[in-house]
Amino acid sequence: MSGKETEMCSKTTIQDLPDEMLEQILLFLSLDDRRSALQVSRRWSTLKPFDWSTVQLVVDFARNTGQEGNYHRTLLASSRQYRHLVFYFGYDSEKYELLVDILRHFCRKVETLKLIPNNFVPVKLALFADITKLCSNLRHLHIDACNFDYSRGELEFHPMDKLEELYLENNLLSLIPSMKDITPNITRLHMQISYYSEEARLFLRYFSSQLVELEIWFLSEDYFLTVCEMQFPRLEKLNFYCVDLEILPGASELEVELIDLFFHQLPLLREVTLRCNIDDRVIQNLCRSCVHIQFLCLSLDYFLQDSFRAICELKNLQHLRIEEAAVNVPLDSYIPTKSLQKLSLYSTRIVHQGKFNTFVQCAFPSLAVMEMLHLTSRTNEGRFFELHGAICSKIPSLQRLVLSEPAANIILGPFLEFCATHAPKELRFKCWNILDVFPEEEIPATQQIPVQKLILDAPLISPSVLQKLIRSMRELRWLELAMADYCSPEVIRSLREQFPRCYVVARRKVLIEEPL
Amino acid sequence: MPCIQLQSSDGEIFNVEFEIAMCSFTIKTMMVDLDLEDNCEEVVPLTNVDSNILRKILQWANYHKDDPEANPEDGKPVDRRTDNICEWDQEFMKVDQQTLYGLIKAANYLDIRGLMALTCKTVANMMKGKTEEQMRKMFNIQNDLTPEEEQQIRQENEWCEEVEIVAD
Repeated sequence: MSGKETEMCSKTTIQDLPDEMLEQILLFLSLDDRRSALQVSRRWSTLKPFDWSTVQLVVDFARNTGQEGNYHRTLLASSRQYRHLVFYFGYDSEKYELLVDILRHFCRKVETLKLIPNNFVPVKLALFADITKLCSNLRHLHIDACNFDYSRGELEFHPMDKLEELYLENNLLSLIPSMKDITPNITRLHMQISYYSEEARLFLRYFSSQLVELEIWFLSEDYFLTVCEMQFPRLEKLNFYCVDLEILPGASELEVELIDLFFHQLPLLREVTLRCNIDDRVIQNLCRSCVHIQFLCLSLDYFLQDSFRAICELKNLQHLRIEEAAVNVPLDSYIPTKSLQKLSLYSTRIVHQGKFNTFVQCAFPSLAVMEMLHLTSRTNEGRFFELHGAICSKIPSLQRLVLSEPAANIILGPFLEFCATHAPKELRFKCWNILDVFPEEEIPATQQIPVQKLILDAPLISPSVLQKLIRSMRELRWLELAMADYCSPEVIRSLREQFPRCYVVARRKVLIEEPL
Repeated sequence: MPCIQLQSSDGEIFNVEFEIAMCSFTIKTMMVDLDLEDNCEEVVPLTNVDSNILRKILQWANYHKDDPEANPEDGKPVDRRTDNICEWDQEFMKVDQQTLYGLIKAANYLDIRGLMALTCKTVANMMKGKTEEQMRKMFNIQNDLTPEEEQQIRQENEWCEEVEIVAD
């Protein structure tokens, strides 16, 4: 091709691409990188490389004291179409006006609204009236712990026909007798039940036949059985917090029978979280009645052999999470559960670690993910890896191991030894710091460490330990770090240059333990 | 093998196998609309694509002609990864910036989804992990923002967060 022809081709630069194409490109970047791109120039700052279904706007009045004016200007000029809004707010009339202004600006598109008051001063009931009036497309409403004031005045509340999910940790039900007419179509309800709020129980009873998801904090255990007398024929997800409840072996047969009957009438149940002290019999009957359970989370004092035998009968169970309990497993008379893929232990005490490990190997042959969270107590901190290793060793199906001990200081040598012996291909690890006791010495490469992907949240780790870590993990191809002081862009860049085999990235948020 | 003739904006005519040309939804629609499916004599003019770019595109389409057709409505999560570019494509993408943007525009105009994703991913990979200043330098863009505007934009973007989605 001659030089003349080359000149005939138009000189295309990135600036010649229309906005939609630039947005398509930016959508392939992480949110952090997109933030940088939107700072490039005035034109780029007006791009909207967002999938509105996955972006939320978080307005935190508490974090930016004195910045309210800025909020006002920036947000009221915004042409973005946020569908999810989160407000952290205190109570004073100025901020209240601002909140309503911002709400008014985005209201037509808003589908999710979370209000999280950051003190216990009463919130104006007029705010709720405004929400019902403005946000006609609202599908999820979450109002965190707060009290609305009693000055009802001439307030008018509009029905929110599209509302599917309601999260109430407040006194709205006591203040608004007609609340059920405002939220006629809810299928997911999160609420509190206390001894003084009869309205809450009536509200629950009114919607019981249409609820798909129900979460209740029992502030008084007296009403646990009252709720168990209601019927929820469509319920798929249930979450009960009633820490004061004790249905102990000594409890009356009548109570146990009532709870059994309750579970027996929930044929569609898929996800169950029970944080109340129920005894073996209830767990066994639950497993017998609700055979479709896929997720089960139990928080109780003792998790014993018969409970495990019962759980092994659940042929659809995919994820089991045990919290707070002293755990003892059976050695025989159980059927392996092939469906179980994920086992989470949160703050549990395993009575016989070796026995537990054998049980996991035999009972859960498809186990791919194991989470061990906050297992370290003061008495065994020194034996951190001994404990974890004994629990999770030799599970051939394991793909990912998640360890979270946010307060622990870890020594690099034993950590690497642990990884070589027990870690699968993927490791997610949270601790306070990883220390190198012998910075001059290289770690002997006696054992191959199979970890290929590491997600690490260790706020105090130093770049030199990080270097040594990557060098020792020869199979490592992916390292994701939680943003901290140590990971300046220079450090990340130098790690990338030093280890071209491994993709290194620092993110504001990394996912260690998956949210419940 | 039935062929059709595509004419680039600078007048060059390319004889292209039917099957390869069909990777472009734009051409596909044109053929149906103009009822050209049985008529190979007609020349299809592509007024927005010059011969250099068209040659590149046909090279890509030829390599990928046997790829399974992606149906955008099949409910699969949107591909947002940029580390899944095959080796041939990586080699193919070793072009100057001008050609790259030319390819993006043409892929968009011709509606070739696979090539659109590839070119967008390639540019995204160039930007990954860079500061705004490094991006300006790379793309030769002047910063025309006042410090106040910069502050304002930074704030609004600071307040944006991705809704938690369990990644696997």
